[in-house]
Amino acid sequence: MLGFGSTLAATLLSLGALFSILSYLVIHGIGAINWAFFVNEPAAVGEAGGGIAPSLLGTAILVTIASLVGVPLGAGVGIYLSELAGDTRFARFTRLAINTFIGVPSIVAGIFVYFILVKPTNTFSAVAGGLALGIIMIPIMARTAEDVLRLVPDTLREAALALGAPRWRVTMGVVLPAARAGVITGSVLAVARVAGETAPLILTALGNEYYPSGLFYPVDEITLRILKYARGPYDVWHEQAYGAALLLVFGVALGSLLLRVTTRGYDVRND
Amino acid sequence: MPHRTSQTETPNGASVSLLRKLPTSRGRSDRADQLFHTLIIAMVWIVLATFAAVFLVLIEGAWPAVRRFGVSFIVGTGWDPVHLTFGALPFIVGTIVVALGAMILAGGIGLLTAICVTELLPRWLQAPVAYLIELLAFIPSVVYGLFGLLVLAPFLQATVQPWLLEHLGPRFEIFNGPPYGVGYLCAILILAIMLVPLIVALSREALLLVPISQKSGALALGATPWEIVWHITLPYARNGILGAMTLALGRALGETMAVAMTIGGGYRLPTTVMDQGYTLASVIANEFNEVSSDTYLSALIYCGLILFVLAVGVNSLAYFSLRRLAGARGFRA
Repeated sequence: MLGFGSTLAATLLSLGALFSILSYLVIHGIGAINWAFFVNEPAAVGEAGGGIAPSLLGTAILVTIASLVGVPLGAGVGIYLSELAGDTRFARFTRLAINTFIGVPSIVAGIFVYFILVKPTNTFSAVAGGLALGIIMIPIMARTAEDVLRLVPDTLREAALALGAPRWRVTMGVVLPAARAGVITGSVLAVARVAGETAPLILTALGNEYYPSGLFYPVDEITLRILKYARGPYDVWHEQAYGAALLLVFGVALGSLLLRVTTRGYDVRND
Repeated sequence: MPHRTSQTETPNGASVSLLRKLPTSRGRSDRADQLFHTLIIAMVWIVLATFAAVFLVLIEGAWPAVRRFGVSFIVGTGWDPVHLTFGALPFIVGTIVVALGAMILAGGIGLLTAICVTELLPRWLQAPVAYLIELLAFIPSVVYGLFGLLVLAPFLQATVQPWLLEHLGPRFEIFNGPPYGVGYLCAILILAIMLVPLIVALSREALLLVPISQKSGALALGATPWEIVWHITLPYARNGILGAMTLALGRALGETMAVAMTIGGGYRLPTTVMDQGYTLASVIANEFNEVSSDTYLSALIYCGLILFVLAVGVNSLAYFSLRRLAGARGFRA
């Protein structure tokens, strides 16, 4: 059957692409991963023995700042859209805004933060990078939070209201805890997604060979390091780029797998 | 990753909240309710204001270039930072060519893969294979760029491009270019791999929405499995699949890093598939930190503005067409 044969071929092609990328990462990257990789600063240009420790720290800092901005605001909008929004123009507009900005290229957020923070303060900074990532995180978080809160059945809300709980208590004390697993999953996935962003950081955090001197100084991130090393002419750099990429992909995949396993039962299937 | 909501929605998409319909509670908790309400609304306002600010900052940053170059920026082809003449047409063309090229590849392969996973594979195999393909979506853009730059580009340069040049070049001008490795071909291939998981996931959702009754009916009438797919499943899921493709196109237009690392870099309109070039997003990423004048910076922001309008336009198209044709069950992407 030619039809199904082509579908099978396509599937094998897709899986083949995945496996070739992963195997290249593993084969070329595993050699770079050692203790020095995790604790050392980058070595002199082209020399071996360096590490990506500042990048790891920078990633942690940027992701933390981004989460502080993106998770509360995004969850707040999600709560609004799911629990408090009536059929008003404001609600429709909010939903439209969220759905529009989910599709905006991430570099636009970088341009925005460049103009409102980097240019006035005359410095690239971790705060700017974190802010840009946080802005990107807001629509993702809002969409996820709304979806997850919607899944909580109305009967729970009715029961709480019947017992005399005030509306804020129903939302914060009943609905949110019921959706807790989904919200956590959503946040972690949003964080993972944002941790892989590079373009906005080029314009805001810039990158750094050393540990950042403070939050208002340029900071390196694991993706920025991959970018720099991949484009360089040195083999050691390429090796370290593969290693960093392997680390990144492995971390994200592991995190998502763990989440999948621990939060079963939150999907609605249609049969 | 997309999934469905379980509650039905009113036509405009806003489920009238249960809490909204009831009168406010009385007594001490009334103030707490008001506070909560105000807090949440304040957060929404902050977010909306931020979005508005992003749009306004883009316009403000691009304004000097808009005023100086106007429409000639969109149709002009010279990009000269030294003499300060800027024309972004090559970037606009580059963005569209790369996005469309990747879409055609990824759309075909992705849809066929989705059909295979939902219709051909046995039940126990469907979830693991689908998960593996979704794994492709978790690979960050810069890692795709790494793979494209260090693996695919040398491979293209060594084998594929010389072959194209030798066998198809003499007859088709589009293959008659110098084998750089990086360039449009490399970027299109890498972007296509990036889009496949998105298309597979969304198409799968659309295909799974087809009611079994339709398929059983066709089976009872004597249709073969392939005929069921071709005549029943695909037409029924057609709207969802089209929405998925449009969404993927929106994503392709804005993709920055993987393209920036594999497209080479050039300011001319593409004539062959092996040319180097730029897309709107990748030119900003590559040149932003090297601007030598305010006009240069403003010109790059102008590119960002065009990109913003393009991406928002395509995504709105996808969103509205998906919503309109979703049917009784909310289908969200």
